[in-house]
Amino acid sequence: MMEQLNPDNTINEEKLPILGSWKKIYFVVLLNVIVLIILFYFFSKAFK
Amino acid sequence: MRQLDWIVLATTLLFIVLFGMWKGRGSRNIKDFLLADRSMKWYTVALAIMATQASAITFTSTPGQAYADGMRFVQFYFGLPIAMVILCITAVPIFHKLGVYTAYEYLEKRFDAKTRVLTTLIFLVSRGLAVGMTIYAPSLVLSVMLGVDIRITSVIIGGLVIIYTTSGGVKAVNYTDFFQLIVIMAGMCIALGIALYLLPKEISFTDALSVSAVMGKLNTVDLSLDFSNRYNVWSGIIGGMFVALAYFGTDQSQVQRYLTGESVTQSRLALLFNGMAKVPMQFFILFIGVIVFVFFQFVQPPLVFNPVEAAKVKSGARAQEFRQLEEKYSTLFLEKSEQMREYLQARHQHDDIQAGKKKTELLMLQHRYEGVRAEASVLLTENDQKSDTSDTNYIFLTFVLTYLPAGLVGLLFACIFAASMSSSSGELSALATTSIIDIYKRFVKREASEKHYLMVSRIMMALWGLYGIAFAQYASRLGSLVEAVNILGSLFYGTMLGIFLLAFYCKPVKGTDVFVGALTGEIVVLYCFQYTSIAWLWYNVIGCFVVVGVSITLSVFERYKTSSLPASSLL
Repeated sequence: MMEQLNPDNTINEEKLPILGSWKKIYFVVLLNVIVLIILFYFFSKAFK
Repeated sequence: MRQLDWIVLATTLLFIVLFGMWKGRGSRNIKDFLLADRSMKWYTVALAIMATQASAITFTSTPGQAYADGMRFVQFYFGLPIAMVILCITAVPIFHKLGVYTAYEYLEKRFDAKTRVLTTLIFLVSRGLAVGMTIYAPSLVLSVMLGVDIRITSVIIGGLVIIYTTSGGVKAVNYTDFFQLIVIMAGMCIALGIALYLLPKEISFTDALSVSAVMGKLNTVDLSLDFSNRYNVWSGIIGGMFVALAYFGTDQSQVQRYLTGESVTQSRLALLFNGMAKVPMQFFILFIGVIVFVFFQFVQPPLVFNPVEAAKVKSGARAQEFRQLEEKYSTLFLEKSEQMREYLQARHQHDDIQAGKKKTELLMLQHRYEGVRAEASVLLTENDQKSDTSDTNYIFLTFVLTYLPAGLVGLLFACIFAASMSSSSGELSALATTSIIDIYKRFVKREASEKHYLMVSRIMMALWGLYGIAFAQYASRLGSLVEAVNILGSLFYGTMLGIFLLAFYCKPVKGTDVFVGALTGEIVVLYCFQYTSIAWLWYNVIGCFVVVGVSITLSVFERYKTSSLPASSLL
């Protein structure tokens, strides 16, 4: 039962439309938010 | 609203309903009706997720919030992309692999029936109250702004949603959500464009940003670590991540959206798109509020944005005092507007000393200006104890109604209706699915034909819709309870998240441990709410940690007890 309920990170039923691997896509999503926080920080500083 | 606006509004709403009914036609079984036969592409699911999350209040209140409080609210969403990645790794493959209809169905497979029932009831109570609010809150705002009875606006919103959800099920919900979000974002882009266009000719875009910055509205990132501060980077990343994990991982109104994806890949891509787009989208909506704020630095806004409350006080016993406040407000506005122009001139001439001086004067004037608004708010309450003093909901719509050209006002109001419908339709289908799968099919009638379950699903959706409309009719009589109902929703997510995290990651923990842990977690969260000043975003973190901590402790204790028993007692 537990085997069946385990998160399966290897599931990859169809070809990814971009970047080729999930790890790369996750990295881009996380990088995106970091870049946005930095941009927002400088955005608010720039007009102070 | 002019005739053209009513035509645009009616046509858009009619199109949404017909589009939903057409796209959702032909459901033959509950898999089709409740999960769209798991056939959706990622872009439809992604926009449905975003549309369900963004209620009408997101589009009416968020610009108003930026107007009053600046852009710091955007930080609340910083944790969302992290949550999306975590859910893609854990929840999505599990839910798909098991072929579940609801997230709570999985809990029985993993733990036991009582944990499933407990979580289902938590969801039905919290989301059941929320669906009423999802209909009530925009109905109130729209009834005030359009001068139409709230019973009519709530019946229109709820009634239209019932028509296409009961006829087309989740497929209709997803497709209409997709279309509704496109209409909403188009409307918001137009609103921003017009707000920028309506700024005085001598005020450039960078001037507008300077004005908003000097008035403290561009406060997008706050690095201070303060637990009582609702919005800073840390509460946003940590608290926001927990809220998003709970909402997208345990709330059926979102789980159902991505369960309709035709594969794990499609569901994951939908969630990740949400992770990429949500922060810029919120930034954009807040930014509209900031530009509206700049616009109202040069064009005088009303002292009270809510027209009904303003009319009430003007015709009441305190009318004279209100008029005096309005005069004071006008004088301060003219003075502030003049100072603002002088400040910008000093900046253009690179005269930092003069700019600094003007900035100080501006801030003092703004303080006095806000003071007059606060006095007006007190006057409203003294004139009528039941008066609605939360003015932020009406700022953006006042701008739309007063300054947008004919046709576009109708489109913007259609956006607000569409946003309300997209959220409530998602909630209705989730409540109906949970009621059918986790209660009716599990405990009332285990064996029946597909036709029977399909019919009960439709009835259940209609009943939840009627309940939402009925709640909206009577919500105004609940007074301050309405606010309490809103807060109530945030009290349950931590517990639900704790249960699911244990299910995903802690193999040794058993059903009873989780059940006790969940009850303890809920008690602790309620204690924090009642007796501490901790900001509500942290309740999710606290609830989750208590559930996980107590359940693991109980599990370890039981293992220790079992292993220390003499071998004979185990036989």
